[in-house]
Amino acid sequence: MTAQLDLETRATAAPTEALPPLAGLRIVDLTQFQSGPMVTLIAGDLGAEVIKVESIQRVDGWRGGGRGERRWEKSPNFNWVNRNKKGITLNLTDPRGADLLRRLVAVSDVVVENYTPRVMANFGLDYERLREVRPDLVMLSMPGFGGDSPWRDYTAFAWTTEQMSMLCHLTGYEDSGPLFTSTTGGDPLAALMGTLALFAALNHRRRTGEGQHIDLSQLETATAFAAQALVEAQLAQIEPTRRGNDSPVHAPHGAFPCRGEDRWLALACRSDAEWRGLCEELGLPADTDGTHPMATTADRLAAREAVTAHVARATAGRDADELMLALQTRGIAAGVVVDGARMLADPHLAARGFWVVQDREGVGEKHYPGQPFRLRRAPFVDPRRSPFLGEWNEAVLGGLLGVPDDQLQELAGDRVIGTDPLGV
Amino acid sequence: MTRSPAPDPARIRRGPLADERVLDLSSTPAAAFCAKLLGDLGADVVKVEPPGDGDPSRGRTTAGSGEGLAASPEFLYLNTSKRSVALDLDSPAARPLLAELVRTHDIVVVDGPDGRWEQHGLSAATHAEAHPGAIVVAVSPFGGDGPYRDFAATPLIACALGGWMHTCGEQGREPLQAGGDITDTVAGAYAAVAALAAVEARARDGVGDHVDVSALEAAITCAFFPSMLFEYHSEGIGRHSDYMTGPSFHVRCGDGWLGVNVLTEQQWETLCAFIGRPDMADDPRFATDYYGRLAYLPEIREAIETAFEGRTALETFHEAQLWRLPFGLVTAPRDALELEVHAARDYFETHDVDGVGEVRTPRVPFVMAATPSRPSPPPDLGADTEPVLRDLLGLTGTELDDLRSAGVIA
Repeated sequence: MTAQLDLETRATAAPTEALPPLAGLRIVDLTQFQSGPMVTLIAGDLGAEVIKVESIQRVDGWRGGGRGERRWEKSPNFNWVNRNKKGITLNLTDPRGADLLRRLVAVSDVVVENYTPRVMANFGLDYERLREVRPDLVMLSMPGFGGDSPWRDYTAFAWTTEQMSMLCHLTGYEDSGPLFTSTTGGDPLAALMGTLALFAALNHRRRTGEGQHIDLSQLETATAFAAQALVEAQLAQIEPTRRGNDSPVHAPHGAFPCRGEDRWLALACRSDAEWRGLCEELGLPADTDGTHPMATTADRLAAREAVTAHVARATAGRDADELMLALQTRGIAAGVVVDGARMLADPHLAARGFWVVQDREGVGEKHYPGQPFRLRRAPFVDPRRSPFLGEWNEAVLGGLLGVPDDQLQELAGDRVIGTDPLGV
Repeated sequence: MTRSPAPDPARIRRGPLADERVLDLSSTPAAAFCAKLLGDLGADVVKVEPPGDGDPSRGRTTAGSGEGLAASPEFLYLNTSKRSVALDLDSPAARPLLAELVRTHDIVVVDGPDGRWEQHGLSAATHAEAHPGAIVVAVSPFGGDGPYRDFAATPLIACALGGWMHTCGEQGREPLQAGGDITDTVAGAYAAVAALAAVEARARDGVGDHVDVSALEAAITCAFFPSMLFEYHSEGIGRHSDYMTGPSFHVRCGDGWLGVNVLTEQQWETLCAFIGRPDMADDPRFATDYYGRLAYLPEIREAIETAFEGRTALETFHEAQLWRLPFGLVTAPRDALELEVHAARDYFETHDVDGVGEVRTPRVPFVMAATPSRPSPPPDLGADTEPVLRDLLGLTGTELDDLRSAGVIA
């Protein structure tokens, strides 16, 4: 604890003129939905200049989650994952659009894309051609099953990769079929590994001047997060499978009902001492429920169902938040099973400044998830709200690339660029 | 315990992080995964373990089923590409050695705000003064400050407070943790990403940093949707992860489970044609969107199960993919090990583990054209104590002998 305090003191005392870690880096982002945009969200928060390319013919699919007038500007998913990005539109199927993209790449460091491999080649924008205009380019491609792959043209999204990574097989009740985790599955997992690959490639480029192409497989990235089960399957007679909330070594371990509708407390009792503390807090006998001995971990593992019922009877009348605090004060791992409202109201997240609050025309002031890490010295950038469709066309195409106004008007007239989607 | 199969020179590659030195002082899965990822990318990772039993994860040899195993899957997976130094940090004689190890490494991975290294006489502030370029990566359940900082946690608790659990499960039943202890690996991957960001800042500024990683917040970034839906529309979400929007769900086939997935309206129309029911695409009841169709899930499911009756999951997966439908196979671990695409992309590295035999672990889940890398086997306890202390810290044979006799190293 002292170590932490020391460091905080140092960080406070140090001059805070440091720039964000990736200041000066320019990324061309051709991705949509979550897996790719979450890579550039992390990079953008860390200071990279991210130029997000959509088209009025095909806007980012995650704009589809909004409601009401101009609903493509009101998607909570899109507005979270695209902060700190400069959004432009380019119809890449038009030769003028593809040419502008090449000019943009020529003055950028990184390209990220999450199409199936045939798409970039069809645009004439695959790595081999882009490196002609930017020899030290780092390009991250994120198809579902890899580019150099017998399944290269297969299609995947969040749940495809979740299913094929073992996560659905491992998630569920003992008596149920495989379940989804209910998250966006493989998408954030691809994003994390994509970011890792990108930063590693930037490290190599900094030391050697050499760029490269990264061929990421979203099936492989999701699998990496659960691959301990792959090793277990090779060592065990019994194939790893769903086991509800059970732990092989701890009991009780699971979700326990609390006061109110659909309120639950998750709790993991990791020793006999914690078990005694839990029973004391709940006013329960620790040795037995009257039928089953429960004093030792072995006893409790042998009588899991009875232990769960024993504890659940006592938690049912308790407030989940109060019980979490009471048990954590006793050193017992306990956590409220939060829904969206409870998560937003969490005092710990508020104290940590986790949420990024942004005002957006037509939407208002909203909280969005921040990054789960802090660098004590090098700061994040001051957050800027996600872009409206084509909002940065003039600044990027006109300002950065020097396209004259009359040409921009011609491009808009020919729908190579624009600010209103066609056919939403 | 472990050794590589006969080395294949073509496979000895350095990886993009070949110039980074990482000291892994951690003993939690999340922090271990962080250091492992850096190692798999070519960094030289030294893991410090207590002599005797070693890292606590070495002893976790109980399978999920309760079966006892010859080795720990957790240790074998989370500690590839590391060297092991067995050093008793509780011994006063170890303190100068630890200080030297810290001084000679660029990135130090520790597991959280519980002062593990303060208790060994190493103040982080002192360390920062002595070695201003160092990057300390602290991976903890709740981060370095805030009211939950010292709370106890496991992946179950991270799923609960991180928003994974409330929507996972079936309607009317208890909420479920996600399988695979995935919140640990998510936190570890974020830590590796943040460490590399700090490396870039150090390359520019010449100054290191302290990286504070919260596993709770890491989990939330993957389960953001319920909070975003409430923030925008004050709406909650039911618990029904047996199906998702589209509709998307799992169908039992003779050889396993098939994932039937629909994302776009075009895919819905294609699905109807694929199952020989183009009439369903024209049915006004289904012409809503991927949310609206959920009201008709039983009927849609029945039509699909009828169409796929007598067919295998594998053949249906491939056929659907040729129609550009994003179907998936619901793989169990042994299925995942046998996927042809993994063999074709050389995804697994085989290690020869004493007492166990050959064990396969994945390489990093992407192929870097200029800087490929392969994982090296998880180390035997203390396998690298002598080389590290001799070559890196300059200890003599006599000094090593004395430390070994005193039980400080092994």
